[in-house]
Amino acid sequence: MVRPRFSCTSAARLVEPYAIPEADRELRREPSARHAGADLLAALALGLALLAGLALAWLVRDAPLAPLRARELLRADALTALILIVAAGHGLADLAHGTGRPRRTATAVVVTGVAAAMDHLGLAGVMLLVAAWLRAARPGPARVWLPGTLPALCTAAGLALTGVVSGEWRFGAPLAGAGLNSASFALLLIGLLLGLDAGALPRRRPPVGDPLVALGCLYGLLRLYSLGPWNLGWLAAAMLLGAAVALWSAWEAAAAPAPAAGPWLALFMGGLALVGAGLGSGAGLTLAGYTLLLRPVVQLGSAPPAPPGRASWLLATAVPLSGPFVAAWMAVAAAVAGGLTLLAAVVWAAALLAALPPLRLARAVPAPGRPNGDLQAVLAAALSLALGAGSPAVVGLLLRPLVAQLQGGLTPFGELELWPWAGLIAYDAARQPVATLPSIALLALMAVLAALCWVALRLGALRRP
Amino acid sequence: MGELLGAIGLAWPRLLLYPGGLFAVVAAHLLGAWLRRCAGSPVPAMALPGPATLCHAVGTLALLALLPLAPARSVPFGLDLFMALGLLEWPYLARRASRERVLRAYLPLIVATTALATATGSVELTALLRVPASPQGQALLAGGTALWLLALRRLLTDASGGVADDLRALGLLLVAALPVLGALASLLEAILPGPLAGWLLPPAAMLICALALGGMMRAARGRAC
Repeated sequence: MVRPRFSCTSAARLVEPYAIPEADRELRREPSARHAGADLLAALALGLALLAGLALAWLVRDAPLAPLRARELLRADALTALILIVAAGHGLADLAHGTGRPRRTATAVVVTGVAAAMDHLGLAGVMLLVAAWLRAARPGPARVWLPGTLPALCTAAGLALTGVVSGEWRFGAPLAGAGLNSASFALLLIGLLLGLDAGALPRRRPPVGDPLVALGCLYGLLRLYSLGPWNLGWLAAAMLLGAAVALWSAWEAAAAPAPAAGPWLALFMGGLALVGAGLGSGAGLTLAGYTLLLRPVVQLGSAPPAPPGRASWLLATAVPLSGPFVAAWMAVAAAVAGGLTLLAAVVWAAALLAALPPLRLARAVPAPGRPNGDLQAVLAAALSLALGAGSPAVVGLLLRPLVAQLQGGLTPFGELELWPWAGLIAYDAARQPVATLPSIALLALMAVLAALCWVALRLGALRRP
Repeated sequence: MGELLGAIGLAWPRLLLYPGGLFAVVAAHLLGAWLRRCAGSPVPAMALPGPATLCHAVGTLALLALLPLAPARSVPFGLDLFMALGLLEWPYLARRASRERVLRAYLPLIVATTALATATGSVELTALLRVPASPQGQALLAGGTALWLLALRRLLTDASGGVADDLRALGLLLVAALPVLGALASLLEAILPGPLAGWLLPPAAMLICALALGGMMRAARGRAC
């Protein structure tokens, strides 16, 4: 299961300053029969978690399953399904790269999924804390593993404070919204920034945030929409911080050696998700959900040291109909639909910069005797294309129910809707179309044009002596 | 599904004749020759395009075929500026090695797009044909169009002069021609009847933009000398 990773002398020299964190390096395992068995079990568990997430998404597409049994502690909705799917994706990506401990990873994924299904704010926070501890715990003193659990600690504190203020711990209860307060929001926002390791930006070191922990923190923040609408200050803070993180991380990614830019790209995606949460509209939430779905794909395709290969084209935000391109389009469309053209410009510039590392990898020539790309990059490219070209299906099946079920907390400034048999379309508050992505129609037209070009080439070849 | 197939079936004149297809290839060749003459660039040797060139050109041709230009029959699938720039520029972005070069090339284009989007309240290409009612909106639209053309002067200098490069130049120019077309249609609404305006105004708008861009390139060449 664990295969030798691509290594190239020049690439290794380039990425040395951006090397894999010491803690992760410790966890890279040498292949052995015992590890292969553990990998297989973990892969099975993670595959089941992914299937469970997809099945749950189908079950809750119309209404949440709430409250479930177990003393009415569980409540599964579209956000739960999304978190479970993304957590399983991160776990599988970890497994594919041979990082982390397989059993702990699988357990952390399941615990994160259960946390997202908790109707109890306090218990959800505790579960997120447990998941973070499972990921961060390493032999040694507390200072080794405590920083890894700090983001989840902030998130748990934020959720608990919301319950304490309202006196109602079930987020599905009618009075739960009374607990929304700025201190809780600040704790959740700080937790997310710590989880993404946004502190790496001023330090100018590659971010080492754990994607599963960051996912749990983002869950805590998005869950606030179940309680009620955010005030304007919260929206502005989330949006500005998200835009700053996205632009700054894209700037750093563009300057980093291409094989080592993966962590910066993951942080860029995290910034986009925060922008989506901060927009507070249906379009913004769709952006946040889509970006979450894309993060495991980016993790799979660009974990350092990423090898050069043509598959990287499809991981660039500049290549039409790739997943990252659609995410950037959603960000621009959601910003324009909300009347924030300056934000759209910032996101656009960030997307252009974030496109550079994958494009450089795609154009790079591998060292003699080295493979052109690897299986993970090819798989990530295929998933990126599927998520990009199939974005209408993703939005229709996964993200539209999410927006509908959190509608009570959203503003009307922007909707991202399906354009039947064409693609996606963004509407502003006055229901005027402001941006269009006819991905399906464009693919069909490009197929026709490609066929015409092929015929022209063949005719040209026939005429040559 | 039937709607999609029907729309694609009805779009064949757009794909083969105008604004994509034959028109696009001829107009791109003429535009490329004009811009090279203005910039003083060498004339490239004639060569049949290879598969890689055609692969790049497919996206550009799709964009050109979907441009909201009269008198072509309208299609229900409009594009927006983000998608248009993506289709036109993705092969060229990879050639710019550093972030400074990327921002120098594309930041003016992003600022121009921001001005256009603020003026029209949308990033859709069809919205560029509508002249805003307020003077501020009109000023923003005019400023955005001028900045777009100015940005093209620098952006098109990296072209080597092949078919794909010429088609890309045509696509970028036609995006700038849309607000000009909208302004001309609004100014001449009382004089020109609808069908005649549909035939006369698009070439006029393209010509105005091509002359303006050529003039800017010639002026830049004069300053350099």
